[in-house]
Amino acid sequence: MALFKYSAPSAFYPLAGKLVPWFGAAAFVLGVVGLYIGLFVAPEDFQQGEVYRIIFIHVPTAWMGMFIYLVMAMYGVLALIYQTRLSAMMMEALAPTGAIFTALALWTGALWGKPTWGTYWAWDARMTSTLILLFLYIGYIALVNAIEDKKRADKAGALLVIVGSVNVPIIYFSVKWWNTLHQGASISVSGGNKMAMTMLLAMLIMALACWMYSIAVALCRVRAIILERERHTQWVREIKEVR
Amino acid sequence: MNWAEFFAMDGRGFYVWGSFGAFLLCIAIEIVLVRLRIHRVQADLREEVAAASIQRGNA
Repeated sequence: MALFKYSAPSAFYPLAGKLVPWFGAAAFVLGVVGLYIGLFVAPEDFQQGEVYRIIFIHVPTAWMGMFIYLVMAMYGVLALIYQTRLSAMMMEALAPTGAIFTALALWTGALWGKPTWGTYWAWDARMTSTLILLFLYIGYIALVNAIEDKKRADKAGALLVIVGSVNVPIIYFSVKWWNTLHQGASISVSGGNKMAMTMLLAMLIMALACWMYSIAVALCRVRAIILERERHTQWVREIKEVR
Repeated sequence: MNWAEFFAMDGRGFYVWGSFGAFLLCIAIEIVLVRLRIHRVQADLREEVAAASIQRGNA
């Protein structure tokens, strides 16, 4: 099956190389359009004024922080069950990007909280569980790098990420389960949305841009990881970038 | 549109631009670091392969 063919690092390395520019270009175009609509087209919020525009960074980065973690957990399951090297490499490639997006969600949340709630930080359920998500990413990166034997490092990292994935639904539903300072969901599948059309559009385009960006940067990073880990194999010595 | 007004963001410019700026800065840094990482490993491998072929030539 074609899918399994590309689970070999030697087959995935050139494929990823071909995909990176496309996802990178898509991310750039969507990002420019999203920022333009978010900053120049979307109207001012009737309650918050201009400061609400932080939403166009805050929500997409928070979504990506959670989503990338779930993708890592999925690769973790594959890594444990099928022992595919590429799954573990993809986890390693995604973790820094997920950590950056989670940190940005916390940072922009603090900068949004100050002018609207009067505080940068509160030990509210959503903020605290998002901080734990950041620690899970950092813990995974530290753990994988601390273990010399790559096979054991991959296994330990996969376990940590899978166990930690219980935190993601906690973040997502925290605003429903507890009385939080953080507001409820701005959009939901069932209840429609509470935003103006252009606001929603800018947010979704920015989310899509972050998505494309994450794929591009993770594919580029996994290429580096593949070469680092397979450097003693024959196929690595025969790729065109090396000869 | 008035640019000064745009950058002031109702006097909340610090918070808005602090968010957008951090976002763009993080992405720029990540792109640079990832490119450095792949270029470094490719350069290392090029050296190794070149060294190996010289050794073969001497043998």
